Amino acid sequence: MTAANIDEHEIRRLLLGELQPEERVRIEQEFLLNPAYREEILAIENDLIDDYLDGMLSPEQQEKFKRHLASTPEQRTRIRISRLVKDNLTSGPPSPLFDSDSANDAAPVFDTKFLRFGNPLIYLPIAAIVLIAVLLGAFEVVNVRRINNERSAAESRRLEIERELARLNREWRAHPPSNSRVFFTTLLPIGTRGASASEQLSPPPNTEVFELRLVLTGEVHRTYSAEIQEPALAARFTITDLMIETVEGHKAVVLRLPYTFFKEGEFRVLLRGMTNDDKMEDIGEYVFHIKS
Amino acid sequence: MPKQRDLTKPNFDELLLWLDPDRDQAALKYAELYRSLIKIFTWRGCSNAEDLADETVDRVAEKVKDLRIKYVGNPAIYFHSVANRIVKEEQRRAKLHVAWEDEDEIAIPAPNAAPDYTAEEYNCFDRCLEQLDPEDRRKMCSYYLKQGQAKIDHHRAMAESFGISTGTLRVRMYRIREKLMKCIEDCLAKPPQQ
Repeated sequence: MTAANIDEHEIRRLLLGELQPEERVRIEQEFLLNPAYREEILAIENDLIDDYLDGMLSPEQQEKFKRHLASTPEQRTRIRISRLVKDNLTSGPPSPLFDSDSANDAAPVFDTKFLRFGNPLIYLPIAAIVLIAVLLGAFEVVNVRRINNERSAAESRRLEIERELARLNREWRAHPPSNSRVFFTTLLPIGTRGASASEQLSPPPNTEVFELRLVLTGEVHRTYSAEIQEPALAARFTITDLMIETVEGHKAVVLRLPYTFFKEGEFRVLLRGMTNDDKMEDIGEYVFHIKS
Repeated sequence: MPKQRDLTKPNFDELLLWLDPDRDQAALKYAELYRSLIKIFTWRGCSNAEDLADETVDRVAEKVKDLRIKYVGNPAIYFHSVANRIVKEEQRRAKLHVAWEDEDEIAIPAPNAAPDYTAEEYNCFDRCLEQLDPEDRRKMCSYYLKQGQAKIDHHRAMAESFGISTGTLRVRMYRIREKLMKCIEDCLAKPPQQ
């Protein structure tokens, strides 16, 4: 049994003590026998705890929750820690850039109806670049140490930028635009024979997109993510869902970023790969220096 | 070694052997089974879930020599049938559904309650969040960005951006949250440093 066919509603009824004995026995036995199913039930239990803490259960469900999910001291401790985690991770007052529906707010930027010719899909990566530039302008670097509302707002902006970067890379792969000014460089991981300590790069000023070709030297992974960091600013962004491409006869993960993303200085990229059992592992570090 | 009072070492060894011929695998299976029994008793509304899981293990261990010869099937199913009997006995003794308010001083937080955490809880949370893998930390921060109704749409958008179902996202976030919660529990259990 997998996430695809688990009946979430039925599991919630089990957890609230609403199931008939025969249904309950069937699910409990599966819970004991099937580790994947067990994880899914425990994940649904977490969601139910969150819903309780958010006040999303009816008064009747709240009573059942207290009787069945908060019946032991250990479970009550667990609920208190869940609340601690939630309260400290959930944002304070919604930020306009973030509020959920930043995707909807962003929609006009991606509206291509005004384009009168050509395949409008090729403009999506360009629209993504524009949006990232706007978000970067709004991004304030703060010391992400204390868990509070300010941190949460900055974190939210950073996550939004990351989402747009992932979208840019995805859409570029699907519909590469033909008219963008792209500057590319091929980088070897640190420690590889032939890799320089820090590649010195001077892209022309009219560059729109900076393409990093991160050469792979080890085994192939299902998917990749890259964390890019400029130490001077202590700002880090992770771009997920990256794939292998073949460039100049090498297998490489290609990362495309708007050139507005970069300032003069040294950048580090940590590449990670996802294994078949869904674990992320470090693959290599790549360093380059942008000079004006 | 488990903490059951009536469980002898020979019986426990026999029990492990029944679960798996490989001792390490057997120990892992036992620990998982024990935790799962506690969960099941909790969901059935038993306020003494750990005691009942101990009782289940004790009863199975008493018969394990015979069971190894005669019982056909997965041992977990046998444990479950014993657990079922124990719940029924508990119901007869009317010990079920002990009001949680009277149980002890750990109260369940009310929905939307104002934060009332101690400095120690904040410190443990900070320390444990720092210990997470940076990518996991980011995913956690993103997953809990919204609450109430807005979080449903947010989780859907997040799952879509990763190219996975919301169910798969939920399980992945569960794994990260378990690491974080275990770390916080351990941190809070440590005596305060002088």
